[in-house]
Amino acid sequence: MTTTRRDFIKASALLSAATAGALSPIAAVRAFAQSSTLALINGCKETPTLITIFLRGGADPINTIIPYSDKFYSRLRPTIALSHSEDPKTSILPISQHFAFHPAAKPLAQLYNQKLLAPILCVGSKHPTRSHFDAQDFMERAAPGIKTIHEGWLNRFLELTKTSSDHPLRALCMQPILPRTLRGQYPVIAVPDYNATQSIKTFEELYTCDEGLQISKNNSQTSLDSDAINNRNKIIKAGSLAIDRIQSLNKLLQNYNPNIPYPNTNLGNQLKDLAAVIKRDQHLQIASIDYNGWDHHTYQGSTQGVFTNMLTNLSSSIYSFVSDLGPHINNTVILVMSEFGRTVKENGNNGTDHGHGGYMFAIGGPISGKQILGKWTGLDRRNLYQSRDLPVYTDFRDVFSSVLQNLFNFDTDKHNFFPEYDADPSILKLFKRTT
Amino acid sequence: MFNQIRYYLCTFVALLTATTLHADLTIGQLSQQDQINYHILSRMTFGPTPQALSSIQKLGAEQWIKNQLNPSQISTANIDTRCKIDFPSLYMPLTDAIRTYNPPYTKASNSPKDQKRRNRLRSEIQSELRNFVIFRAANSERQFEEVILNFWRNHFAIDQTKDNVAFYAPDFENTLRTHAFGRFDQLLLATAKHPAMLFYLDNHISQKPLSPREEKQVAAAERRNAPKAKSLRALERQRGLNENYARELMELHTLGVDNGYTQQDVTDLARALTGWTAAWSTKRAQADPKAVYNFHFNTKVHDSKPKYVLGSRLTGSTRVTEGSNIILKLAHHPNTARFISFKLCQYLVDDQPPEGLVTEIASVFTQSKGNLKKVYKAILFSDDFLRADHYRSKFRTPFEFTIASLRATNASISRYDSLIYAMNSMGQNLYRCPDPTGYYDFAEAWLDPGVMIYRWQFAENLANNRIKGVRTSPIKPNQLANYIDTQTATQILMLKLKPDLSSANYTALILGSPDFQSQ
Repeated sequence: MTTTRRDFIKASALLSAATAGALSPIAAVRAFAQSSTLALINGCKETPTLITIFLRGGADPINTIIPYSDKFYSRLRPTIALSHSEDPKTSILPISQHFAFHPAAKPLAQLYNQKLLAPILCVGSKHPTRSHFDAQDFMERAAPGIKTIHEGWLNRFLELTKTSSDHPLRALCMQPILPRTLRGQYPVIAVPDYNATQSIKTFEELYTCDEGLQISKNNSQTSLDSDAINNRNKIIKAGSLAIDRIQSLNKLLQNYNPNIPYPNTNLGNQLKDLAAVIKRDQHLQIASIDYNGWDHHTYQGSTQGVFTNMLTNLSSSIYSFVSDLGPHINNTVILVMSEFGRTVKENGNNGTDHGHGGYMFAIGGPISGKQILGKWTGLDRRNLYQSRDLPVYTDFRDVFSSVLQNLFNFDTDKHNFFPEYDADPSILKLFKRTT
Repeated sequence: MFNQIRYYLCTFVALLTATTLHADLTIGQLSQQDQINYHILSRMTFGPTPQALSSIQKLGAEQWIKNQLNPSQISTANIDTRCKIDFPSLYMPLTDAIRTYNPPYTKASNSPKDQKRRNRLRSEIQSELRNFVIFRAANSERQFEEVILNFWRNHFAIDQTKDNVAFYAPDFENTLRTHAFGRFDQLLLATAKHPAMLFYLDNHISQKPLSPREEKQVAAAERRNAPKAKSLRALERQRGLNENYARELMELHTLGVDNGYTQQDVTDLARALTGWTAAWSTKRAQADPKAVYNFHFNTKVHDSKPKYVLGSRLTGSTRVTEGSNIILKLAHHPNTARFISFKLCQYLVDDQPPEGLVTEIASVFTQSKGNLKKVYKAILFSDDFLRADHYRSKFRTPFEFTIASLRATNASISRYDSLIYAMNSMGQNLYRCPDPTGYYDFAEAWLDPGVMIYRWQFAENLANNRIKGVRTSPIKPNQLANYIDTQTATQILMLKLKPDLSSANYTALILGSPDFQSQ
């Protein structure tokens, strides 16, 4: 127990409520100002960018950031625990006396050592649900237990901060379906996962010709009030907006040669496209990506298997993206999250069941990397939530609030952004401190 | 009653003919009565077709509506045989379906081979249900039944991918079908007692909470960290109350969100429903060949202390009727009448249904004690149903758009996966709504700009027979008026309808046109 406690003190930014070096709002603003000045000097874009990656299904924290010195680790996971080994491919990668990365996360360990990455432990929703849909929903709307909020947290941010001159590629989703994080009033376009050129060619005239709108206009003058006409205009507008956005996007993506190869996976390709948009257009502010399939109830595996493959994909895709961005990483943040963690103890099927506390990765130039954030109290069941799961010590809204405040200078308090919650962005020293 | 609405019909027609037709237009056009018929069909079917139009012409609108309100009088023999062959799980009693698709576990059940077989069976029963829904929506002569089913399926949304809901969901669909033209209270009670709903909203694990003394016992044993007595382990397993279903029962199924109930009502309703479960789908239950999977009341976990919901103490001759009584009370609550009426009017009339109409329908609901057929009829024969400004005012959901496209192209379907995939791309995952609220029933929820591209792509692929397992026929130019407005859209469309356009691409343009996106 003493080791874990010492570990916690050493590794965690949350020393205690009293001594936590709270970043005052002014300092935060200064940090923001400085980081963007720095950025400009280094040839970095002006607009800060946030990219969220949602690992759907409840990604396992314990086999990702492995508490290898905890005696309970291998005891509770007899078939899926990892350890030191001669073979570098299967050996854990220690980043402190107590934590190690899974070998599949080697690229992330590199980012960690470059001070570009910080894992956040025991983070999640205080709401006890172990239901995927509720937990994802709560996190994406950033409103646990509140079902009257229907819009995603990043859409709410976009809507609250929109201006009349918003850049058309301010927010993007490079996958066919908008994640709930991005759903809401603000029009974010979900980009089809296939080449839309042919469809656009076929329908362009129908949706963009002036005559079409002209007819609608004439009609609305002659009829008293016709929802049909309004409805049709909305449809035509949506179609022409899609054509416009996708055409400009296609131009940006044309002949893009990344600095470094990406894994040829859905995630890799999405990140590659986003890198192209960031480097060539430089106005992207918000993007979100879904990565499905982290619900490993059976045959999760230790050094091999589906979990390892997915972690490899996640790690190398992110690594390529960060390297590809070059100086633009200086004001870009990638936030990796999942709806909850998994049981500390493995189940009867060499897998793990739905748990409570999860993990996040905060990655990017502004992030105060090479430190493990969040309170940690070890795997002793007396310290576990309901004797089985990692507890939630850090509310995910504190992380969201910190990102919005430090990256975009957006005060979540002022906007009552998280209903029924007072987010404390200073609770983690997530961002680099500049005084 | 029909005479009353003649006035509105006239206004309606006047509006439709406000713009004159292009002189060169040689395509077919609809008579005034047909335009009215067209509107009726666009709301009471999944898209007008020449056949449907001739049927309503033959019978007259009034009779046609009345027939559709009595679906059991309309024969579906032409599709039933095929349904029974293609979707067998929909024609099995619940227990048989589970035995067939989730067979009892044996010692061999953990082998990878058996796991594979189980996975295949699970995906089979999931597909059968979704395919069944698509097939009947596209082909049933009882179109209004399918349209109304689409409403209740969404109102009582369940997700077939959660836990073992997959095996119960076909029977749930049949339960909705049984009651959709009956009484709302019976419909509600049937869903409340259905294992699919109990599993989906976690009521099956909701148990009476531990008493303070029991809680202390458990906590003390935790601290000792030693092997525990059987009784203590049983206590530990007793996880306590799960409010999920009780909350949704009031919020989504009856009263409406925050509409006349408190957190205390939710908690006490949840306590009243403790013990409402179904035979477990655990391995042990699975291995028991006598296990029954229907509704089951587990007295052991029922909380028998007094409860108060909506201001009065719950009563019942048995512990189960205590629960069913309060469910019936909720079904007959005035807020429920209004909430259900609003949703039905929103579905059948307009995204923002007229206040007066909702009030009128709510009173029909109350006076008829929730007789759903009377409620539908009151909406369909209301002054507002045919009001001109409701013409084409509803944006088609992905499901409605897909089915309408299939009907317009007279599609024959042998595989459904690409259709399901397409609907999912447009934002609607059939029987897998991620949220118990169901999908929203207004245009804003569906009109993401990016989604238009998917609709166009689907239109092109469908018309060009590029969708695996779906064969379509092109729309004939003289039938154009069945699908889009001759007065407006065609003028734009004419720009594109060049002589060298293939009939498939001509069809694609119609399906992807702005007009075809609405009904």
